[in-house]
Amino acid sequence: MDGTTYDLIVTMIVLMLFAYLSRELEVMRAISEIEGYLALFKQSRDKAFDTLVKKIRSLSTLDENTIKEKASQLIEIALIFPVNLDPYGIVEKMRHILYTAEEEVEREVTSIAVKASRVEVQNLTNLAEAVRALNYLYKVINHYYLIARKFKSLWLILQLNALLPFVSEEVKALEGAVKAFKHGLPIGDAAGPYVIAKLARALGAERRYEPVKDTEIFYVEKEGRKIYMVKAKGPGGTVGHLDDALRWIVEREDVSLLVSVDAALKLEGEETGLISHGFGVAMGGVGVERFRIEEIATERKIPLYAVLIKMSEWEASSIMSEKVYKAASKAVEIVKNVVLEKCMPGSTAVILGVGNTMGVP
Amino acid sequence: MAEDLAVKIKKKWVPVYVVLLAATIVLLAGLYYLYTLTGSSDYSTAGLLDAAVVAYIAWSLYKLVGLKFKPREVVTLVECGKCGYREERPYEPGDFFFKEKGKCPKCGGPLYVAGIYVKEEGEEASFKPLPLSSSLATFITAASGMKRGE
Ligand SMILES: [Zn+2]
Ligand SMILES: [Zn+2]
Repeated sequence: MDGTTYDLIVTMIVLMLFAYLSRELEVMRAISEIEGYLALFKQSRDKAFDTLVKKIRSLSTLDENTIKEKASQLIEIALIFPVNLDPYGIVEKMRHILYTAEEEVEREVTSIAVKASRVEVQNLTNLAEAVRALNYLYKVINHYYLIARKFKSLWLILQLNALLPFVSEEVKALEGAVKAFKHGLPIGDAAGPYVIAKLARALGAERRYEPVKDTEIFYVEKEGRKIYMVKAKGPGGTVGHLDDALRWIVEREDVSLLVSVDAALKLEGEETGLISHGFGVAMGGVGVERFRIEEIATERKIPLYAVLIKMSEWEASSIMSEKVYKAASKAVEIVKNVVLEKCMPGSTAVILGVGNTMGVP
Repeated sequence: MAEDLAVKIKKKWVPVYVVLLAATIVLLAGLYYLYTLTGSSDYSTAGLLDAAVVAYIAWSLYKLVGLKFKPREVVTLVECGKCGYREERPYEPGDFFFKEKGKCPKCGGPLYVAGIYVKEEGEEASFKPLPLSSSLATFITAASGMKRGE
């Protein structure tokens, strides 16, 4: 073996060693990053849980241990969605489960926080929901981290690492929600209900109906048009039951236009507060209510018009930002003009203000 | 993310950076001393390398110290129903939309809460492409344009 071959082999070995080392380093970096994020997630979960316990303590007569126990129960509630092997009628089944959960959780919260008013019960339920989501996120990420460590799987670790920025966006959003729900402050998602509340007052709504739980309907006659405005009933945190309210209206009136206003997720790089128009029902969530509204509208051939106020996920669930507030104030005029433009005198329009109405009566 | 927390965790590294910076500066001084003593180019090369390390650490430290967490202020916007007078006040617990908040200082009409929101703190941080990558992009577009032109 001459010198050149020897040199070549050594070079190859050194190169391979470097390749191996750089991969090991990459994995180590990914793991330490995941661990850092996990520590942050855990801390924000614990902080949110403390907030919940503190809030309950101020509204309850129970002793400390019972409060902690009840709070842990509240954040471990699971919703089991119906089997979707045969999707026929699944929306009604989901609705049934959601309604049951809503009623039962509210009853549970009322029994724990006996000193709480109706509004406080609603806000506490919202708070518990945000803490539950934080808890769940932390547990899921921790689960995948532990699995990845257990099987020493490079790909699992890298995948998890790639996911973390998105998860931390969500954690940030939930942290913002906890902060808002603690004080009962309006969040960005309240833009929809705010537009309705403002518009109803600007038009001098003559009547107010409350045929459905947690939901209110304003009625006004404007330039020969009958206008119904629907939103969740504030200032407690709730999204109401807009679908049932709409059914109540269409049973009484021949509706010829349905406008929905909601906060919509913007893309990264889009301006917050951008108002865009569209067709269809602007509404987030599981989709149960949207399905039912679409059904009602299709049955009666009601045109669906949507006004969207763009914001990030974080802005939608944190205390309303100045930009969102200004956009919502602008949307009031826009919605009014849309209704006056598209709804002829003598006909009826319905405006739905979609979103959590916390802080907006 | 819990920005305050993230900032706190990052700030924990400040002493480490300071120690590293001090050590590399001392090393730099030593190398310079040896270089003036012997005039050997070995010391000047090592000194140059060390100077680069010093600059890098100093830059990192500067960025770290510059990290700040700005808590954002919640305000209540009150508006007069009569004359349209507007004023932003610090949020008080119990404020909600359309709540009556005393009398207008201008015309004595009723003031009500027109908005509750957090103040925006100047411009949001936006990402600009690094100078190198943007010039690279220009180069690539120019090159690909040339190809298409052929
Ligand atoms: Zn919404
Ligand atoms: Zn005034």
